[in-house]
Amino acid sequence: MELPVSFIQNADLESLDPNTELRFVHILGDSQALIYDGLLGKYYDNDDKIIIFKFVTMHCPRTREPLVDSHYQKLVRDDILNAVARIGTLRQQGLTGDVLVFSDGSFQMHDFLYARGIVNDIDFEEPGRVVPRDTSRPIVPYALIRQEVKQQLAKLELGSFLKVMVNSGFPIGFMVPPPPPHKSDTVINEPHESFRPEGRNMPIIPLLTRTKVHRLFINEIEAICSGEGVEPVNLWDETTEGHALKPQFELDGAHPNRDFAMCVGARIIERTVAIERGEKDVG
Amino acid sequence: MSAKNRPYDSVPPHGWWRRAIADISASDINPALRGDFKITPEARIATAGSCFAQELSKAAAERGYESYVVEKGPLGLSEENRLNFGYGLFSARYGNIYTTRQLVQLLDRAYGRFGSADRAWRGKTGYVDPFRPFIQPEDFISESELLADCEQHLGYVREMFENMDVFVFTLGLTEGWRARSDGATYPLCPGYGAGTFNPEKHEFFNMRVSDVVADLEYVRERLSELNRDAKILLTVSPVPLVATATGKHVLEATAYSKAVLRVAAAEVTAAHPSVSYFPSYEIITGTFSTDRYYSQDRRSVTQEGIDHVMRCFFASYSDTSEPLQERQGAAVENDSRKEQREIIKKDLSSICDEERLLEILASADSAKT
Repeated sequence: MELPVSFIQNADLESLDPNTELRFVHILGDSQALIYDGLLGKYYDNDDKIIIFKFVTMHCPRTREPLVDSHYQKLVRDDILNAVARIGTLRQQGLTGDVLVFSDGSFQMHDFLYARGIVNDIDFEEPGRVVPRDTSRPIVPYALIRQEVKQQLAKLELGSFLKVMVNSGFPIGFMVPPPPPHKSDTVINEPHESFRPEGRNMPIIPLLTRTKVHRLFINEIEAICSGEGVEPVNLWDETTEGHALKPQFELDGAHPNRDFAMCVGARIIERTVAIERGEKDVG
Repeated sequence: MSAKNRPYDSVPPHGWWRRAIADISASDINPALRGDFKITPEARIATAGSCFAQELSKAAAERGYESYVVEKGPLGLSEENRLNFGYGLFSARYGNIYTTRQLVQLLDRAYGRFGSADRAWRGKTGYVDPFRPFIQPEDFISESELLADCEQHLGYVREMFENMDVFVFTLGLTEGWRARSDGATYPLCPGYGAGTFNPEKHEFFNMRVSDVVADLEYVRERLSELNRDAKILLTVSPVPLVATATGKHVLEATAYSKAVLRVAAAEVTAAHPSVSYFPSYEIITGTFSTDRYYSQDRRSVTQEGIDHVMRCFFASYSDTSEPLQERQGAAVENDSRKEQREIIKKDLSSICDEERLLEILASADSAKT
């Protein structure tokens, strides 16, 4: 049985079968958004109608200045707002589709993990203790780390961006939170063009601590999404093993690969079709 | 007796009311004579006690003295969260210690000499430490988190007691609440903001002079075993009781409480050279202060009053005649301290447990009427 969504390498979009519908999914956000650019998702409708979803990324880079700089924050804010406006204009001209996805929070999370130093030497317990605590490290209350994560995310002004997204006229919007962490504690230190220069000597933070920080960021982003009526796309269970990103999804220390993007992309396509059919999220 | 040897002829100026109080500017009055020992800027000054002890800790840090904080919390915390979660308010994260019995039990818990059956209370969303009910604005998420944090905290308490040079303890109250089963003493009455009051499990007590003296003697003796050179500096908080459970008028209960604490401090100080008393209570409550050293609620101490206390404190105990800050001719207050002070000014209620009790009682009172 063929899955409803598959990804194709190339497609001649100019000469599509009349029975094939072309849609656009606009992914907007930090460097995590880049892995989706150019994906072509093929959806087979029950009536044998084929829909091709083309993913287009509008990158709002975060590599210019330290996050704490208010001028820099304004630049990022302007970038995102301009991107939403540009996509909105394209849509009015009939040149684009109906799905807008915001992929963000990862930069704030990496800043929290590797620049702020809060979890350099400590660990914390998470509710339900799904991910165990390293008892050799000093404990800090979960509530304290959660407050710090909230403050860190407040710098992104995620809620206000989601509001803009909801009000921009796109019928369907999603939010993709940061991906699960790489299993290696040190790969983040390896030079990579997409990392900030100061990231080269990032502290070594054990996997279980990093995992809990990732989960906290995702939880808090999902809470913000809930408040703004935006559906989050979180594939934690499907993409992790041993509290880390599955090896087949690894790209570098900070980003997952194209296969991960396809998993998320498939969920976005399935949910888009389901929402258009009036189905509620059962995920 | 000859005219030359009359007893009051040799009384120094500070012993005469007119010369020490009546004839000089109120802000220049200093009842703190030369301290029994000197505190150098390098001395590790540990602080504990009621809210007033926090002021001393802050003032010491602002003057370039080392405020000895062993339980600092993680690096990179925002100053707001650091204070809201009780890091750096005192030397360790124990919150307010109002009675000497709490202090004794903290010391004994740290060294495994006292273990209460009451270890965790159910809170609104998780668990609350019965002995630090307001140490953080949100509950601990599980009993295991609370107990792990508590065990770690007691480790810091041991570190503090064993390495401090001076232990400044502000005596706050004689009234308290404890478990009937094992005498475990709570900072606040269960049922107010945390825990559930049960008259079969909880009982009221009001300490007498002999009780406070016995506690202070015990603490002094234990400290001399743990840290032979450590000095103890006692003060009595000038902040009146929020409420009394004695049935008496709150003013009478306050007078009793402060009198007992003051006398007990004098008893212990007289008996041991390593224990000193600093008269912050007298500076704030003295007749010369009129209404200037208490706020409109006639309970909270004003900044002017605190500043007077600190001037006297450093004049008596610093190793120079001037505060270090003035001596160096440069402000030593760093940005973090400034931020901390501003936050405390803005939200004192989040830091002082008794202030929270005040709010809780006020809301209970208004609900009745």
